[in-house]
Amino acid sequence: MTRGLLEFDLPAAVIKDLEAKIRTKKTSFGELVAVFDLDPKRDFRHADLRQIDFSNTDIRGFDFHGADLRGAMGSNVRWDDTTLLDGAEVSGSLFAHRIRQQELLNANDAVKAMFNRLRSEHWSRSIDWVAHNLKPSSKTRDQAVTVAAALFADADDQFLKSSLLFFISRGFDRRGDYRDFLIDTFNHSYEDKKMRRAVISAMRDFFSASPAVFEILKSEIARTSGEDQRQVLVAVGRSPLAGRDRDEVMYLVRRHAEPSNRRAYVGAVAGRIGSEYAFVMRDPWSRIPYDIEETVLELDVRRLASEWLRHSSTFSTEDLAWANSLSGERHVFDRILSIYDEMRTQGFTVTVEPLENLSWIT
Amino acid sequence: MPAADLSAEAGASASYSRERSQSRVTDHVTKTHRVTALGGDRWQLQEPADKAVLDGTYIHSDPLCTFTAISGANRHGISAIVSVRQRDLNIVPNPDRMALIGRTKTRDKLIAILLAKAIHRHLEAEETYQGLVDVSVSRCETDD
Repeated sequence: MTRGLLEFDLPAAVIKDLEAKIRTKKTSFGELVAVFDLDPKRDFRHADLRQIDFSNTDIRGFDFHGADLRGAMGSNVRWDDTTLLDGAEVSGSLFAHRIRQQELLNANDAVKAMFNRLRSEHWSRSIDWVAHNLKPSSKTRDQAVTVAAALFADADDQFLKSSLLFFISRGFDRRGDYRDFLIDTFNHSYEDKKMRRAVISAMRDFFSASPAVFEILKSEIARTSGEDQRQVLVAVGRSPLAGRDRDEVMYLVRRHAEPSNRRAYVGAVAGRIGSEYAFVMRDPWSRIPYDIEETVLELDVRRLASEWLRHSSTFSTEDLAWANSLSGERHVFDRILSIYDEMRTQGFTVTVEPLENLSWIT
Repeated sequence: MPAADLSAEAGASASYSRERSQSRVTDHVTKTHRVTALGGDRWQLQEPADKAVLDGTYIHSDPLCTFTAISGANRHGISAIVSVRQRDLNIVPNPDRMALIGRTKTRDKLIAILLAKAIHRHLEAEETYQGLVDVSVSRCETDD
């Protein structure tokens, strides 16, 4: 444990004032800045703002000089040249793509000229050019992806945007650049449900372990419903970051997830931990994952134990060796109970109701 | 790439595939000084690892500078200020005195800024808070 180097006893009046502010139920960046009475011109310099959510905030005029903004994200965030970012760390953030794009366009007149030419021509010409120049065999892919991304940011037409997105997603040679492009697109697609869904889908499939993307996926739990929410929850549950942010994720799941989607989340988390966890965290009859709080009958657990012994070949080699080392259903039953205990650390509770007068088959 | 490897690759498409992997280990040795003179009467204290917390004695009775009073000069003293960027501060409130109800990362980050500001004010810093907390100020003045 790290001990404190410096200890301060703040006056009671100061603590009372701080507590009054902290007690607010507000959660968004913009609302909290107002409640905490923070000064955009001074208070965010040199600040730790990693993975912060700027959603629905106008941060024009904010001074982030020297701040750590890695992984900062958001949707419908308004920022421009008056948002001061000198000396700030912005990799993997909503700022990274546009800053890099600007640098690349400024550094290469030919790229800039091509962008200006294409934007003045018919949109079909842009799609043809991008499709041709983003082929894997193209020698100018690096420059072409910069032009394509600039055209994408500039486009209003939904068909043009969707077509460009299709080619751009195959154009980035560096994963980080593609991730930053998606984070930027997410910020600017808050009104375009179709585009937003496409971006979330790509993020979910490729970048759920990225801190900024994980923050975006978490924020989507409250904003989505039905199948969209299910897919977001599965991605969150499968991400290795779900364990790190367990309390926050569980808060969001409890508050916003639909019942069937809660079960999908449980299934995803259990699957990430191991195949035997996924196997026992579901109803043995319907095969639907358990809810985050579930009461099951001892008979269900016995059925799982029986299936475990019969189907242990579906587990990994290590699990199989372990399963084979057990002498019978009773041992597997005990193992399942111990898994249920372990799952408490993930925020899930499985209560087993014992059955009277049932003896074990040996 | 050796010639033998090229022939193996050429044969792969015709009759069989063969996987080949290479690994390379490169050691980077970075020397980091815990105390670095920045110039302009400024020193930087840091631990070598990225997330290490400053926890030690860094300038133990070593003179950072010496000064001599000159009769009739318009400067009669010096101030030594230890400033820490908010992003480098690890503020842990006493839970008995201040209950933190952080539910989201955004909320926790802004609470940390709020606390840094409060500490900066409490320490009666000369400058208005701008992301730097003056955790220690020492002043020394000559009689003339």
